[in-house]
Amino acid sequence: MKEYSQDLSSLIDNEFDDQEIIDAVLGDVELQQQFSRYQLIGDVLREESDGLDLRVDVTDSVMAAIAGEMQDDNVVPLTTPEKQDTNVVPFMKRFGQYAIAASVAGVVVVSSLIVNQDNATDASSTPVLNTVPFGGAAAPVSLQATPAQTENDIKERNERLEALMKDHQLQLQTKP
Amino acid sequence: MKHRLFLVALVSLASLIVSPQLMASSEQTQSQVVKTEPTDLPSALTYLNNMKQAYNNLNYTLLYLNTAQNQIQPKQLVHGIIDGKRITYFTYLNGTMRESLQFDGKISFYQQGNQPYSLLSHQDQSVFADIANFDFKSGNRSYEYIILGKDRIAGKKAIAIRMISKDNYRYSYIVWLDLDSYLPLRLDIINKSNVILEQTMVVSMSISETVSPWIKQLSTQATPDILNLPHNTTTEIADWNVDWLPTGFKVIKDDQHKLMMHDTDPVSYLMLNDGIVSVSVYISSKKALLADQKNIIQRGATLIYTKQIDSVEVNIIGEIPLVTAEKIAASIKPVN
Amino acid sequence: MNERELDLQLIQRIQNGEQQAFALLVRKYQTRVANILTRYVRSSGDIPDVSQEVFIKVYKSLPNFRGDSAFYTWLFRITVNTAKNYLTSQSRRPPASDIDAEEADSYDGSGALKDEDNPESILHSQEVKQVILKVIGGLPDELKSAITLRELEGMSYDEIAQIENCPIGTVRSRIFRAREAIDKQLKPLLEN
Repeated sequence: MKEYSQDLSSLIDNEFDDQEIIDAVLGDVELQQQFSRYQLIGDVLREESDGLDLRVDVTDSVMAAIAGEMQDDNVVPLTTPEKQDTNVVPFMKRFGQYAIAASVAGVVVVSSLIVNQDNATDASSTPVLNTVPFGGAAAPVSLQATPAQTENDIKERNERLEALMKDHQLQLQTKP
Repeated sequence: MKHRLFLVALVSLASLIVSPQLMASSEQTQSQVVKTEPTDLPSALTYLNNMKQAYNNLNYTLLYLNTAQNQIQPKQLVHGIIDGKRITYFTYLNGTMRESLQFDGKISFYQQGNQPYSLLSHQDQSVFADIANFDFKSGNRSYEYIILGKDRIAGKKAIAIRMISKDNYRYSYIVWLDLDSYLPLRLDIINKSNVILEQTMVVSMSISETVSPWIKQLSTQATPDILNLPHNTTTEIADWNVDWLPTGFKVIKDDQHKLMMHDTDPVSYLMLNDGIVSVSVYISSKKALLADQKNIIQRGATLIYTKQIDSVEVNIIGEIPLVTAEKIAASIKPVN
Repeated sequence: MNERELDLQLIQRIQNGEQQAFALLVRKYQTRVANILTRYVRSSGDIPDVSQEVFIKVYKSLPNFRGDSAFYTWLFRITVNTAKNYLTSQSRRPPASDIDAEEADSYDGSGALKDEDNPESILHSQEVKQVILKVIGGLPDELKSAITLRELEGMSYDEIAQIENCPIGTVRSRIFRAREAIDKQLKPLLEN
């Protein structure tokens, strides 16, 4: 371990000559902590650590969060353009947040269709369409449906209704 | 403080569960009113216009409950005037933090765990805005205004005014106003059978002389980025139009645009508005997924109506009765 | 582009899928990020959370980093933006509303007590600083001067070599010896 210490010092100063030291640090937790301390010395001297709790190290929690995220989302976008100069952001990119507009307006979105068969009183029992307000519990609403529908049809149908509902909310927010 | 409010919420909740019929049957209330209106009392129209003034010009905070079907949501509205400009802060009191701030032509949305954003918006989006900003005078073509009588809401002396639709194509309303400030305290949306479809009820109200320093400070903060709405793919108007509209309704938007999420072809879009209610009409050549389908979904006062007509699908969304949606859908004609 | 630029080397590795390399960027910059945040975030207890948010954003946006500005400049911008968002999200809570949103937030029990301006952490931070300064004060002049020129003046080994009139290798070893001496005292302070 010891033999890397001077290279570690050079690494911090951008004065290293070969990549080996990076490999060594990445593969060794002790060296990483030493890297942190070397770094901290400079930070303290530059008075950038004043008022901070120096016992806090967010490295592990950041790495854990990243590992968790990447599991859900293995694809990193390649070249999405950097933020434009204006503070206007293309709407499409933000679709994920867009639900909030609707939620603030406080209306419903159709989210799932559940075929209510628990009573089994009638083979042609009416499927129940659950309308779910954002952040709320479901309230059943009846829907006329034919038995021939596949689950996929229903899913697509709901996605479309949801898209319409959200668009309606958006149109309300920006009505003339 | 917290406990007290919780109690109020509980009590309101209980009363809602116990007596929906009672509240729905406005006949009872009406019969109490009789015809005892001396001529020097303000008319319903005067009260309603006073409400508009108060709602738009006072500095106030309202805590209120929104009820539709089985859902009750407690919310807060803070309103103020800064240099003649209105500022409105809104938040859900339960669950995830969801807030909005409307000021100076923009409305900004904030939700825990999401990046905040803004939209350009010039219309007041707050809870009583649609009713409070109605042009009551010319609105009497569609509604009749009747004073129902006095009541007590949120500990305040209130007067109830009913706005009865003159036809079956829109819902009716009962609005309760604080007799001191004229701020709205309660709003019921009722159908022609007098069933309450949705209700908004203030449980706590405070009015101040000056705008709260906190909201004033909010107004100086940088707002989040403005979202660029999807451009209408064409500058064209919709390919379709409606031949029939209920009295008082006008087409206030007419375009073609894409829907979010669904990266589909643009749909023809019309927004219909009668001064209170806004109805979206979508017409697309999308072929029906669920064959021969007519879909009716209703939640609270909001209707989501879908109908396949020949090769086009019509979707109508808004706070209107089914019969209105059916008539609108049936009247859709291609332009030219 | 400087081949010895650690940031760029690390970013290249991350872009090649070596996720672990990001840990080093976090280690390198977390104090500076936290320091920027102190200007915006009032409650010091919130700084680790906001820091974490900054680094996650940085990681997610790394594919967009084109290297036309220094990594630190870019990081600085993300940090400030995140801090501002945090500010907006904090200050929108009505201070005197009937329902105390702040209270409601911490009510899930997960928050416990926030150690705002925890005197213990201040003491610790001061102790660290004193130890570092004391060790440096006791160093031989040539080591003291080398570490100071490097850390405070931001000079390269080459520049220091010219000033000190010695070979670059000597600069390298002096700086390292200074760090080694400080680290000996510093390490026990930072453990557990």
